[in-house]
Amino acid sequence: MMIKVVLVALILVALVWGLRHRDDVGLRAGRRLVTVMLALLAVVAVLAPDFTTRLAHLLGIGRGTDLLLYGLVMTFVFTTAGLYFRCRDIERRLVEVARAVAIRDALAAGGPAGDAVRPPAQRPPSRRPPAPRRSS
Amino acid sequence: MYGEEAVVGEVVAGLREVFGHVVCVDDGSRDASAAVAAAAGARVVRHPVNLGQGAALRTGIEFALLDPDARHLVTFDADGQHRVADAVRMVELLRTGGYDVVLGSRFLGAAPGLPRGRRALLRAAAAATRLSTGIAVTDAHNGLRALSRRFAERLEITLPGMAHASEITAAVGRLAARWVEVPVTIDYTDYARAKGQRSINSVNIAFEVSVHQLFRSRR
Repeated sequence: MMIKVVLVALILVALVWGLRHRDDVGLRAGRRLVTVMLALLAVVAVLAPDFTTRLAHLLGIGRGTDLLLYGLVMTFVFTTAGLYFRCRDIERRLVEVARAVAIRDALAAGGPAGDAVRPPAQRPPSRRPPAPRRSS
Repeated sequence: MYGEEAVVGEVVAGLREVFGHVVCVDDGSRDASAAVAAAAGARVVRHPVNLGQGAALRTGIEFALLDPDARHLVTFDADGQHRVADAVRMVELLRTGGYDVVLGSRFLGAAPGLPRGRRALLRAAAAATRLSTGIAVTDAHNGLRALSRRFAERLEITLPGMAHASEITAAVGRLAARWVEVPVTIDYTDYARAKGQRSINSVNIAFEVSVHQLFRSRR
């Protein structure tokens, strides 16, 4: 029982630590290596079921399939979380690019907000000439 | 604004009666929002694609700050739920009270037509914000705010979506800003209600905020 508590705690610590250091190249490589090893282990499990079972017993886990399952769950969680953060980083970059373009265009169309002061709205808005549009 | 062509003209015109400069960020609308806002007298900054409210707010603040004469900034929703008179009062308070930030609160003021479920949700959100930032706000997701130039320049909004509201409150604490909350009225028109975000989005907001705080990348 004790070993299980330790294992679960280790998994959680690894998860948080791994995600905090997710930009580390070594860690990304490690994650990929683990994934490949897991795939190899799956092949071994198909060809020689006894081997994974013995390995599992060595670690205090009941069956070889359980060992595979735990590994699978871990890589799944890491991969999902990694993808989530990767998407977020890409989104952040997209936001930066789009915002820069927006501000550049607005500046090109009429300088900073204080310039080109228009008279306050007195006439109905529909009668007002449209704002200058960029040509591109 | 995003797809607000039906109301944004009126909102901008109302603001322009009192305020010299109105910056309107069009967050990739596919309708005529940008043209309508410009015709009503706003300077329009157009995001080429939809980026989210937090990003729009950042763009608007950044653009307004490019004007060296801008001393006070007001953030004001484009869907017509805020009142210009409230904004005027808040800027007056910035000017005379020596505050960096004046936040609007519908719970100190009024929110006619606010559905009960939404009220409970907003209360819970405010409580969560109080807990995580230590800033005793009563309304954490109110779009009407008045900011001093000093505060606006130091404000960092990193979350592009709706989760930016708690970031602004966090900035108040981080920058030790002098802040005050004032009663404002939110008009829950059928239009605003239909356009507003769905309550279930609060789950996404809470998730984004927690992840942001838990797993800050070292970069």
